[in-house]
Amino acid sequence: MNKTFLIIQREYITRVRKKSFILFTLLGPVFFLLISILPIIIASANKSNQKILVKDESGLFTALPDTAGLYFNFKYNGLSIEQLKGNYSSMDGGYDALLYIPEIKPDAPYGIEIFSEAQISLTTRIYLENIIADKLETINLENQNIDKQVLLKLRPKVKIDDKVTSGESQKEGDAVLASVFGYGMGFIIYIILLIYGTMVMRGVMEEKSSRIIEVIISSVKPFQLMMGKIIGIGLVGITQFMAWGFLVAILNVIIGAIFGTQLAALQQSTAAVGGEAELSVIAQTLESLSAHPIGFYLIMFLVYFIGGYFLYAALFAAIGSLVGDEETDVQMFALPVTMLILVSIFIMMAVVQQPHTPLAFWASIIPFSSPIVMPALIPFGVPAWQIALSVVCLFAGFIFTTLLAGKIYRTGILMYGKKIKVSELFKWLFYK
Amino acid sequence: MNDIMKFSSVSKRFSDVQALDNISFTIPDNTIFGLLGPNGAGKTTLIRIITKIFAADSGEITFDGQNIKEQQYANIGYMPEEKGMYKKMKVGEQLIYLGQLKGLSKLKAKEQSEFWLHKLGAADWWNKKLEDLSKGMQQKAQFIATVIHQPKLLILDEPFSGLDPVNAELIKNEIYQLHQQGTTIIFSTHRMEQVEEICNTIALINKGKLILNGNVAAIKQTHKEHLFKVAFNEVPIIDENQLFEIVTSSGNTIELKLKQPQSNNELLQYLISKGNTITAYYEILPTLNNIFINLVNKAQHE
Repeated sequence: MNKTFLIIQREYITRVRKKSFILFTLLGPVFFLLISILPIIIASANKSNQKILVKDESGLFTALPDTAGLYFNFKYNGLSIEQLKGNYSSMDGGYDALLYIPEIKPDAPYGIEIFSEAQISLTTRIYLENIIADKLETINLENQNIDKQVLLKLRPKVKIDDKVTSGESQKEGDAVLASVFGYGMGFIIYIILLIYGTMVMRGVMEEKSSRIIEVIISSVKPFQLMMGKIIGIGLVGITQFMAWGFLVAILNVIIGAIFGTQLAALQQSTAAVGGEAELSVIAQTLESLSAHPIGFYLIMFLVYFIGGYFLYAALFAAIGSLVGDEETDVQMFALPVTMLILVSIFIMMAVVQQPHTPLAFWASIIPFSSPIVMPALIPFGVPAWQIALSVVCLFAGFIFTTLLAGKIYRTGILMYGKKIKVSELFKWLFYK
Repeated sequence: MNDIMKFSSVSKRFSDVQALDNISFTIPDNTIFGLLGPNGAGKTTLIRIITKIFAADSGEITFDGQNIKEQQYANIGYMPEEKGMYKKMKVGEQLIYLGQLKGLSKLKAKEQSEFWLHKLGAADWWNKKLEDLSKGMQQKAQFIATVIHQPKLLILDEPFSGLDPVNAELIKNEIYQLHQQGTTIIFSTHRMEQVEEICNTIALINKGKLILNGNVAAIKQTHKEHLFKVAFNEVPIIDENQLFEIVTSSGNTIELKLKQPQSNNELLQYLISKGNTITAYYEILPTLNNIFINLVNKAQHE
């Protein structure tokens, strides 16, 4: 055991000390945050202030609300449209567009035009259409003597409360939030399996192609070496994730302090557009968030992370031992294993839509897909016995793949320059 | 003299190849033992069984009187034919790590690494990555990794391949010193001239079978062909005779083969009686190389 610990130590320290690891760990969250806030930054950077001159012949509009970088001016309503059309781009330092509202009836608003030198954007046009329609709606309601509040009451908001019954108890369900959790956990495990599984494979290949392998296994058992490598790299993964979590928390605080007011303003403006309805959805989501046992999810996530990682890392180690020098063959050798992971992620995406199908059940039990599928299913409510069965299968599965991989690894790491047939692999399992 | 290793009817089979076939021999304590054989003879398999990388299918191997299964990794130092260490790791760190894997404490491993690097004139390598060293330097580092834990048994598979003559000589001297300090050395090679120079005892295997085993001098005696070289002060006068036949002759020197093994003195008397003056006279013993080639060829015809 002592030697396994030495190997774990080396595998861990040499990787954690690498510049690429430190860089990736430090820049990972920055990169992630950039991706998530980039659209907002780009959108706001892209928004220019546009001045729009309005010529209203109908007399229905005295003003239009200035928002979203659009400023309206009714200053020259006295001039004719022909005069304005020729000059709007040079008047008062230049208007970007001329909105022309002819003599229209509130219930038949035809013939509205906008003139501009540069094509106005779709969002600007839709925005204009909306504010004009809003104004006309108010006028029409007044003309018909209808109270707006009455109209709203005539079409009440319908919401179906979604409850999950399991035996006696009953709990709040929320398909949207469950999907978010499910996807999130499934994807993270998928990424972990691929990144760190590949890292194990590369590590084995490095030892084989540098030929140090024979020196090492004259000091320790091949199985110890394989397990040391798998555990060491697993710890590297955990370190990286913990560092990311920590950095993201810090970055959140920093960004909150710097951009806090701006973000709040942004939220307000969206809330203003969406109205109260959206706020109540947020409140509701927060409420059902508290109904989700986050702590339990985290524990299950860890269990499936560890089980899944060991299961796949062992397979990747066995593949690494078969490849050795020929870098080009790596992808081909790894294909069967990466296929298993890819199929699992596709199943995961399907079962998040339909969580209670036979496919979902079996995929959450079979150890090759359960590490990705089960964490995605748990937020939808999975019976305790199913989780227990799945965990038992997963750990049995990882013990099985580890022993199997150990047998292949033992012989594979010493094989050079020889094409290995599948039939030979089976014979290796029975070597002394 | 005690035997440090004893092989009794050891066999090992890999799917379609009989790598070792019923091999029995012993390695005396504190010898430099030559393990010989052409490529693919089974040398590496045998070594891998000793280093516990494989287990034999059948037969028994003892190390220092103990069954090999219980033997400690710490007793053996092994330098494989294909040399290699972690390329990206620094020499000092790497030697400490490999020493620890052999069971040394961290402190002891550091001490030994420093001692050996200093001894081989490489003290300034400590913080260099292995990939930054020349091939010969890497091989020195590898040698240190092999002996760092002061093993009782040292197994060297083609230790001089890739070394320049100066470094080969340096390593050879280290091997002699270790031998004098009581280490048993198994030296695996197919380079016969090195074996003749270095080894006291040998085992020759071919196609998984043991075909020759014993003390080098004794082997030469049993395989000698009673050839003699005689030099004279002038071209000798020799008639047809019952004692010997001439193999080659050039000027004052002849090479002859005795018909009767124990007739040295008769030969000399005959030559002197012819009025010749002998200036030099010695027996030509076969080189291991010749014995090796003869035996391997013979085995192939069987």
